[in-house]
Amino acid sequence: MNVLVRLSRHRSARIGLFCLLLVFGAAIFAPVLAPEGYDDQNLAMRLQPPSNESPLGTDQLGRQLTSRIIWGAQISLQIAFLATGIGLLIGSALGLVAGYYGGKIDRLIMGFMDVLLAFPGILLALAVVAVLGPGLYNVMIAVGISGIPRFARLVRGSTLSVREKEYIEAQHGLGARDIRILTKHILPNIIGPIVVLATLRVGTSIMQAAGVSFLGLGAQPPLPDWGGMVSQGRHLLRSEWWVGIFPGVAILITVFGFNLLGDGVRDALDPRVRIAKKGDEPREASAEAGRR
Amino acid sequence: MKRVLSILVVLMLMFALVACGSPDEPADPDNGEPAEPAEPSEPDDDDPDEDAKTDWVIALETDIVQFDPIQIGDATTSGVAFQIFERLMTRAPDGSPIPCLAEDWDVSDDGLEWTFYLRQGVEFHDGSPFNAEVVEWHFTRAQSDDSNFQAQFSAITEMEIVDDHTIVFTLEEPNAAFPDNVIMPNGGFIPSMEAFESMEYEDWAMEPMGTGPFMWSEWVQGQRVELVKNPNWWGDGPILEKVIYRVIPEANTQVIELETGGVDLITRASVQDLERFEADPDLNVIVTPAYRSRQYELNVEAFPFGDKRIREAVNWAVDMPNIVEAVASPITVPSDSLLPMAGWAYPGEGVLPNIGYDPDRARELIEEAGFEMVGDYYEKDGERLSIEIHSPDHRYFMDKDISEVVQNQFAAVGIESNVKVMEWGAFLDEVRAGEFQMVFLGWNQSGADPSLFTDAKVMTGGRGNYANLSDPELDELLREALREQDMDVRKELYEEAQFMINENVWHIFVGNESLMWIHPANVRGWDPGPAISGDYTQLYFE
Repeated sequence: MNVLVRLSRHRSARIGLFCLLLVFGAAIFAPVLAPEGYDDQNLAMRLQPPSNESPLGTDQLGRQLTSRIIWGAQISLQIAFLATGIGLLIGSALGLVAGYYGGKIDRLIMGFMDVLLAFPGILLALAVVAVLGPGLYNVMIAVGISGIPRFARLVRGSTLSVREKEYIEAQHGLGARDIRILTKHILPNIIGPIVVLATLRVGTSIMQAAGVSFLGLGAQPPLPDWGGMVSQGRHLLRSEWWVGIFPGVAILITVFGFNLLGDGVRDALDPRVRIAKKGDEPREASAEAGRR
Repeated sequence: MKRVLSILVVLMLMFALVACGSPDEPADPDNGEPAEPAEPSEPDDDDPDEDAKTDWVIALETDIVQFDPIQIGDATTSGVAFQIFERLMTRAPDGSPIPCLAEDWDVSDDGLEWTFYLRQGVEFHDGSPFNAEVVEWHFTRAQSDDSNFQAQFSAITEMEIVDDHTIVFTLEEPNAAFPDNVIMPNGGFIPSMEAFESMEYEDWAMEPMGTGPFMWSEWVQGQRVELVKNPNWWGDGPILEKVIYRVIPEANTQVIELETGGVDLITRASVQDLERFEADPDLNVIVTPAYRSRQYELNVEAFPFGDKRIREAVNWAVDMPNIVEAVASPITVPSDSLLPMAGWAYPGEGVLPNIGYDPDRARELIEEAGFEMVGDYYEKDGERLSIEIHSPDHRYFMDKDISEVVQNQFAAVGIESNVKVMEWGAFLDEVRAGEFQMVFLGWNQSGADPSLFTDAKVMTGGRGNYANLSDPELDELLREALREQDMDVRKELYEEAQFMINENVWHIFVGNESLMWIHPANVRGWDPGPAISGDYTQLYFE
């Protein structure tokens, strides 16, 4: 509870939350909010600039960008959460095992993770999509896999630091099984950094998925995937700028929102960081928070 | 662990460096190569001859593949090969055959014997002589199993060398398209026999040696191809010192490169860019109707197109003329035949049996074929009426956009479909293997002879017949049209053939795509047209 209060006082987290409320609102209420379906073409209304009738303009097939971006929020969030979820689950499990058992298992798992980490995330995701083939779900899997090593490293490190604590030794002494120790005693004590990484990862996942879609390997038309929309718009950038710019802005707002929120969560979970109460000078907090 | 970490840090740093380095590359037109001659930014009033630009830089969408003429199958390589190799005959701007490596030719009265009198004193770029022996060797190779042009050249039953510069081809039966086959780019290109015999095949195929006005000089894979002037060319010219091809896949980048002087010729631009170029006094825009047909091909061996009613239904379901008009006008013009409207065999608009736009009729036909509406889409025995539309992206004008509208109109009728966009090479692999239901394809020719289209696209086993189309009656008609010498009769036969093609409903016709060239306005001595566009021998910058 304390954490939530601290979070709600965190200034940039509030801005982040506001951005995310917009995006989540769009995703959840898309059927109500969007004036048209995402593939309602009107060839007579091609490439209309933003106006009262079409607030964000229309694309090369006469589809309203407003509606497509609103529907697209569903896809982006879906990708973001599923991809992050894959990385979180598999990565954390591997990290826990590696950190807890140590020795050969640790070297084996982390050696493999280091190999994966050697590739930039987007490159890894591209390689996976190349194997699986293009498509919305394959992109989720690909981006998820590229997130695994990051979670594994973080969880392993945290596990190592908790493993030798007295309360774990006590559990050993009581004869608790490994699985119980891992899930009931280690995991709850390292959940903080995992939550922070997960929140930040969501933003990265959206970026990566948009990148893969931009290259034509993501959700296939006519799905209103933001990355794919930017890709379509780039051909028109010099004359019909709105086709590519607005989906790009949507990506920007979402990723920005998740990053700010992630920073906020990190500060809220860190007892060393002082978060200003209402009326306090907010600068102080951010100065103390610093960067680790 | 520490060592692994430090290796990791080094790797990360390297990636960071690479990442920092890469954005600079596209901006640098030289790509690390020795500097090009300066672009023509100087005023051209003082002594244009000395300052004039002598290299002609052309933007390519894709890289070259290989240069064994009998295996060239892509337009990019073909365009480069056109500068290096020559054919026995070439085309006049009106499309008629004119002398090239053959100075003259005779045809016997029965149309069976073709005697070619070869140009004397012509040398290949490697110094070996061009003579009748080389011609015989080349056309023998072109008849082999390895050749993409086996069908065309197997019409030659005998080749007789009369003397060093005279050769007689004997045909199996009269063939009205024979000159068109000899002229056909790729198969008709004659390479050096000496080079073939003295080199490994793989090296030979990547170091083309012909008799043409430009010679192979340098290739940086994925970046550029450089050709230099052939000083010993038999003809008049070339004036240029170099022809340079730059691989620029991105249409927008091509446009920017053209505007900043990085390239001199692009052959593709959006409608919006075209409008801007036409208003620009420094640029010349040429758009001309061409022998380039665009259509969706329906694979009759794949579900659900074995059933003619479904083939008809998908035609009724799509309002193609309006789609093309809205999305691809004025570059692509709606058409109702496989044959190009600019050719002599097209009977005129509205003559051929035609399927219009009527979604209700489409639904009727689908139901006749035994499908039932379940939810939003038709199903039969639990199998959804579902079509995957193979579509290239920016290969043909507005291809992917047109496919998306088709998908949308299919859905309105109750046909589920998805657009499958693939990288061009992978796309071709699948299409050539017949692994598709419905595919957006184009067919480009420099000649108007209808056989170049019909015999490749709809004759049983034709070299571009990827949809496995086959109609024995049509095959017979096409063979007859090929044997026929009288042009009026041929026209009638091809009109009949077009009726049969349309009645088989193997396609959804999209239209004819015009050819487009955009280049600086100070280019002289070059007059591209649908029949011949790659003749740069008289080209110069003013």
